[in-house]
Amino acid sequence: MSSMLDRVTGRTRFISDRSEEGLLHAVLVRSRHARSKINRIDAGEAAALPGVVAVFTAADFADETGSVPRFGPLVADQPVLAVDETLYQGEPVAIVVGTSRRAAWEGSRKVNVDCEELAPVITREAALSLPAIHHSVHADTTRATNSNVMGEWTFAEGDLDSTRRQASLIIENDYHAPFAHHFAIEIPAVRAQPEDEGVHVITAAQHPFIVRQVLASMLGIPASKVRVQATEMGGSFGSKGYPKLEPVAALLALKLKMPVEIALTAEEAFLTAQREASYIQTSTGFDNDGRILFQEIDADFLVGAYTDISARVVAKTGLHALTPYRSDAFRVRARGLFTNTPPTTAFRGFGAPHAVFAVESQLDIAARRLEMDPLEIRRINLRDKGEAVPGETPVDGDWKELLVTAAEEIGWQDAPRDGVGRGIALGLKSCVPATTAKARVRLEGDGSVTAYVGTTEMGQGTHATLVGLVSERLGVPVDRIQLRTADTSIVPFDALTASSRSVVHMGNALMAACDDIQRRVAELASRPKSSEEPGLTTDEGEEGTPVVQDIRESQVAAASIEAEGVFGASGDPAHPLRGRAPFYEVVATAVELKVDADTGMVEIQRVVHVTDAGKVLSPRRAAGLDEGGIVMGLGLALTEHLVTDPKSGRLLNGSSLDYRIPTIAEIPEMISLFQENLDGPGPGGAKGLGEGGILAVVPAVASAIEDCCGARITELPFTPERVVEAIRETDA
Amino acid sequence: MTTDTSFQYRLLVNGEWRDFDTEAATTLLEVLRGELGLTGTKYNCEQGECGACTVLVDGTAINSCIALAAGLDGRAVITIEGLSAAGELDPVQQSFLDFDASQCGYCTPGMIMAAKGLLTENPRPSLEEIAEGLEGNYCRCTGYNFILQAVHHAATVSGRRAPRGERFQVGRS
Repeated sequence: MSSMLDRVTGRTRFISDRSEEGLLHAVLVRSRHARSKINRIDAGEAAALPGVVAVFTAADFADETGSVPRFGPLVADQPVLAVDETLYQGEPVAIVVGTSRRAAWEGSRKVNVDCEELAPVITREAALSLPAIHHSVHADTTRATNSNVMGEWTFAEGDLDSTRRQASLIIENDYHAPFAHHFAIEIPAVRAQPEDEGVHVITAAQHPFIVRQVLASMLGIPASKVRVQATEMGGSFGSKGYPKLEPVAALLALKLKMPVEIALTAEEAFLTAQREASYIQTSTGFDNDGRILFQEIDADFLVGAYTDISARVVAKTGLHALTPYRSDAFRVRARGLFTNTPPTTAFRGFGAPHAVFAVESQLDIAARRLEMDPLEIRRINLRDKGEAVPGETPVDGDWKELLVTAAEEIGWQDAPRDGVGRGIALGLKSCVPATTAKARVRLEGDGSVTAYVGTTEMGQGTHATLVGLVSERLGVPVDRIQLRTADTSIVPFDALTASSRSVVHMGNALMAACDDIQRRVAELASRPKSSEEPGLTTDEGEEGTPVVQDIRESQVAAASIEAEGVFGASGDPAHPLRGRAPFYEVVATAVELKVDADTGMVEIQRVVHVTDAGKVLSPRRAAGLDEGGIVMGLGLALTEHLVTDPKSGRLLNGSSLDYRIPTIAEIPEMISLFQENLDGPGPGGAKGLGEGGILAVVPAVASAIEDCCGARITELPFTPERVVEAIRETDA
Repeated sequence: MTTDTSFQYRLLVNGEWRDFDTEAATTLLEVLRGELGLTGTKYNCEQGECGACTVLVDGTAINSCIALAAGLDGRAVITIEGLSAAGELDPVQQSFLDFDASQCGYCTPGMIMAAKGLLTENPRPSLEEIAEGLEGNYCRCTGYNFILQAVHHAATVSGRRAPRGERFQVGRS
């Protein structure tokens, strides 16, 4: 693991910072069209260039039946290289291997792809009305029905029709959010090399064990022969989660019997991972007191050309869209639609920010109509701590108090300054259910500690937090603890690093291992010493923790004690997500902003953010994560959208120059507060945090804009054009 | 592969003269990372937009990804590695460390070099001037607040007062 000192001195080694003799470099040849039929690929000219080692197309990886390897974490639907057709702009059709990246790149420009451009399916309307884009896979679903519906999930309870008749106010709106890009500053890269009878993959990836499973399954070799080593990532936010480049890299390494690197450009990164676009049609019924009687949601998510993890995104967003609020009846239908756009995947918040935008906006629109305080309409509808949630984990926090704290801090009861608009919102996301984390801890003979965890580091700081937990539990100073991480050949199994789960899951697994070590140390210490036994003595630490003090050097090896700890959140096969939420990640966000009615420019002035942390393990790290999430949420709210030409399907702004993420010049004053009720399932009562910052920013901004200038916008992002247009419509 | 003419030139990199013979199109970024193995300098856009590759040339912060190395013949380049070459952290680095102004660390070297360049030009910038000066450096993790605080702190000689926005607290409901 790298330290903060490594980071400020540039010594953290990211994957592209590792030098290696004899490394080959591969560059992907990508489809220029959103959809095309491949007639012929001519690699002759490329292969003849100096420095080009080989050029491969899908056919080179086909088995004896002609079948080309496909991969995916849920459905193996993505071919390593396009087979006969391309389904999105940027889909890899060939790969050029060279002795240098430059040579491979020159080669990639000389691969002649003879193809026929086809009319792509880009919009929701097209996805629903045109025949299926998939022909060769998804045989039992989309092919049978000739439909682009990837999957559909419905969650319902109560009698919607009769409740609808009782409602005195029904608010109906269609909320839209476009595709967005993670924009991790480090661009994805992977290295693969043959190792023993298998393959060793070094990759900037969040989930080495998922990568291993997908590779083993695709290659048809035992998981034990696939070694996946995840490097520290220069940001990810979901973009480096599920396999992207590893499958083709592993195949190249096995074919060439040489180490190979694939390092993308920023433009390629835009075509490799995106957030789903969504259309969330929401109908909410209230009585005269502002009580929610029913909620009905029809959500369509455009998921791109292949499944990746998007089926989980869609299902989970649907399931938890209405978790915070009571109603007499509800129905949520969430659908994923295939489109000829790059595959979408996990992105901080995992779909929740879009659902939160819709559900929270509905409350504010109703509050305005009923002349109620937005705080009050939430207060009367929010579930209480301990209250049951249909089919799910009961409310595990004091959600109303989060809102009250945010409101107090921003001065909700006082009139805002002149020209300033305010908004407040609640955001909820559930932690991934039914996953297991294992950890191994070795108390070395000299009293130092080595801990083995699958947890990866992408800037969230979990490595440092985990070391802190081990230090506290064993009474061993931080600088005597070494974390070994994320190499599937070394560390015990861990499902994934995502969903703010690691502090709870890996934290608990580590604590269990530490406790086992404590027990064994105590047992050893209580035994009478004999010459065969290590000279182990214990001492009571500051808080009664036995501390290993001294072990004679000659007995170091014998004295090391190793223990494994496991934490598994229980599963439920009948549950739509195969298990209930281990905890909810819940936040309240309050925003103050100004709108320039002439230009439509929105200036965010102040953001107050309150997180239900359970217990804060590192206040500065927690605040930093929340602030990062807030600013990412402001990007979602104001500037970030991938613009695709609906006719050609070409991405029009897929570069760092054209896709606008927030800069330091645009940040507001930020105040991060934490509620600490010691009621989480993690060490000391901690819950996970880190994704939460992004959850409720968008609806808070939307309401603050309305508060400021009367314009209600339901389409992201709130660009100057949209703001001006909305003001015009309001005035008309 | 190319018919590029090669160029000979020398650069004073982190206090040491280095001779190069590269193609004309070779960028300073490629020279630093590829020829010298100074991988502390990062990259993303290779269009001069994101600031990850920022280094100092004669004390001025520049994007090394769009600077042709041969064009800098005879000039002094300082990278993140050169900032603490004597073993002691530069005050800007120390401040980033103290303020947790880094999460993944990928933009950090460029951000620190840009801050260094800014403070060379304007030793006592206001928060607004810092924000303006670092606008060309993207960070996707931190939300920039701690970075702003860290640079402001580094620029403040007395520097002990609590900076703006430096507020987070833990409370029970």
